[in-house]
Amino acid sequence: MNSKIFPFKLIIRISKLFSKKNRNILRELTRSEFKLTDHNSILGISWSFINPSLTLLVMYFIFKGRFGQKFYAYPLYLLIGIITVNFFISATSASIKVFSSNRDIVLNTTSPRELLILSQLFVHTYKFIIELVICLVLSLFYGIFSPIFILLLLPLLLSYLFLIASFGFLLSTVYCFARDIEYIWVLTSRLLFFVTPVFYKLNYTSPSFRNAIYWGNPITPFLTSFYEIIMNSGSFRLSNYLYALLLGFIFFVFGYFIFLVIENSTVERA
Amino acid sequence: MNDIIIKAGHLSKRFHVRKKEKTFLRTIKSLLRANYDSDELYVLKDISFEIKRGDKVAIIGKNGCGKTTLLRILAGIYDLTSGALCVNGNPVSFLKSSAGTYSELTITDNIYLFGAIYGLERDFLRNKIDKILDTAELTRLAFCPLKELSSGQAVRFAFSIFSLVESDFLMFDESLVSLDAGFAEKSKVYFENLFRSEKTVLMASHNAHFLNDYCKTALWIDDGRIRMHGKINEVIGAYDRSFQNS
Repeated sequence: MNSKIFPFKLIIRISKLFSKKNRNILRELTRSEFKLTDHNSILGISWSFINPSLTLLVMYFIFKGRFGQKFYAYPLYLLIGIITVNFFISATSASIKVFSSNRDIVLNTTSPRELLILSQLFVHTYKFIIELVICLVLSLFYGIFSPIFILLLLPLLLSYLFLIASFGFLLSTVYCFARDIEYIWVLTSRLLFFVTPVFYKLNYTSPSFRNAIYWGNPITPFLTSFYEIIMNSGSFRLSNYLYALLLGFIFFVFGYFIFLVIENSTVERA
Repeated sequence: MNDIIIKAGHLSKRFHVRKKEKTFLRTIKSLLRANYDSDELYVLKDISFEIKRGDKVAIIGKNGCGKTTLLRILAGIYDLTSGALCVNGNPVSFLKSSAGTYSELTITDNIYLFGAIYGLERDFLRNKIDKILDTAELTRLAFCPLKELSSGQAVRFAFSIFSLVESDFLMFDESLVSLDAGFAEKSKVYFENLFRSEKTVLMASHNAHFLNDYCKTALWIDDGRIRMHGKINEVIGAYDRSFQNS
């Protein structure tokens, strides 16, 4: 693809992506993926909540002595961190094999391949939104809920979806060329809980570590914005919020560009 | 309206095939030498043809000769390696009966998913669901997972939904493989109606009788090249003779 005409192709492609037919495909794919997620499971969707709840319990008991006494509503702080990072990990991990596991659709239908990634993303988004609502209820319980700040949540969530979609495009593309990415991503995911301020605050860390995880880890600006919005503690930073919105957009354009440039080779190797 | 629906000029499609089994050392070596350790395989070589709007064209040839690759290129699934292609329309292609199905989901769930892939809305399908299940002879299995169907039943399932698709340009690849005689008889009505319609139809199959009944012209692809393009009975005759001579 000629990179000079890429912006136009991107706009045309996105407009086609949300045509009536493709919206219907996306809806049905998401519905099917959602049914498959908890297929043949006795506890069904409850597993999606058991996992973060157990992580919360473990982290709370491990870190409450070291970090928990330093700030208010530590369980809520932990929960926001866990669900935000979990959402990123689960949605990106589900996207990795999407082309090879849907090879029949990729090679035998003209449906846009992006829909497969987006359907995976939407299944996890649905769960994330339920978890966010639980966080908002807890925020109300702790008396730190602010209805005005909540309005800022939607653009942030949208930008976070852009960020995750971009990783979905990149990982699923790379997987068609080198299956190693799956193992690399499992290792990276394990590290994410430590290099993202899930159980500690950024200002408790050394300046060099703080800079590294703020500028080097794209989840950090999102997570800190989620904290500042849900736990209205008067520390909301507009610059951090705008940086997160911009980051999601930039990552999306970059990930989608790479995906479109090598889409044909990817399809042949699916 | 343009009378030519497909115009292909010197169309070629190349794939890369591995020379040796992939190992860690060979991968490292090929990366270091910027040599991809693969051979070029031309599945379609410099083919040119035209298809008129409303034509019923059979695509015949041995296994691996490039029929499916050609259909995928015409559908826009694959890019061409070289040459020119002009397709004046949006073909709807039935290339594989399992495309757009999830084997773990029930037949009913799969009807909505498979239908969506081919542009059929849930509301439309909801009204047709009894008819689809009845045509596919799967009424009693409506809530069974798709994986429990035999290959013949799976084709019946897919074909019963696909037959509801409205398009003036359709492509089929080996659509009637593993169908029993009873269902083949049912599908006859559908193909007879297609044959009499103004629609453009491309069909790839090994079943010469089937193609002879529903196509007017044929394209014989042999080893990635067009060996013959002409009236169906002449091309099929020559194709059959090629086996007798070899």
